[in-house]
Amino acid sequence: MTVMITVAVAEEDFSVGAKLCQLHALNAAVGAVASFVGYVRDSNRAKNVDVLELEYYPGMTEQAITEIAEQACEKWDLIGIDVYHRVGKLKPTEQIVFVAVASAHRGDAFSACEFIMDYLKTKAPFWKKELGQDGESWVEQRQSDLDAMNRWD
Amino acid sequence: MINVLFFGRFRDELKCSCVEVEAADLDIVNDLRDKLISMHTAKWQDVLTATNVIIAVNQKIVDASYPVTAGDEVAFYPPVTGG
Repeated sequence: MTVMITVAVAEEDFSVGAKLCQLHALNAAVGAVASFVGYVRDSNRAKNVDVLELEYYPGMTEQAITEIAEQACEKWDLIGIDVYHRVGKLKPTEQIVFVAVASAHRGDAFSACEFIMDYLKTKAPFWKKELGQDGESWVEQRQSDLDAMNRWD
Repeated sequence: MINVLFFGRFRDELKCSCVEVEAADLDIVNDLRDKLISMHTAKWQDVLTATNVIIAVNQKIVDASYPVTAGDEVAFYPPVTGG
């Protein structure tokens, strides 16, 4: 069965509730929907963050996320995947990223959701810049994120 | 011409988001990189020869030995930090 994959990158905010309902409504075989939402924090490594600016590579970013979703479909028995990533200037407490996976049973949905998020963080072309009282600085990739991705090999 | 793009920290450090380069004498990405360095300040050498440079040709990740030709889109960017 073809898995319904939805990928979007946009400045606009999103409704978690509406997105979860859409995934559940794909078909009556959906028995589980697992999701992850990432938010902007007001501090990072002891620095205040007033604004988080997210940049991406239009076209390549969406394609990279789609490829990650397709890899998840090969590993687990899935029905639907929805990935939404915001870009532009975001403030603390705002939503940044949404990943949700629908499947017949919870194990596939939980694992695929975490896999997609781990891969997105290390493979999809997004770059974060933090702006605050201490000036502005680009966020550096963390070894812990690379370790999280590598454990799926 | 080859359309060259820079993202994230690289775009800031080079003060450049895109540049067009004549493709005629270029065979691979490394030739393009050498040409970019020769055309600009020492800063470009620092940025484009760092160990963690990611290269994409026509939106696919490749290494510096990948062939380039007129009409290609080549991107140089630092490790990604989304999510």
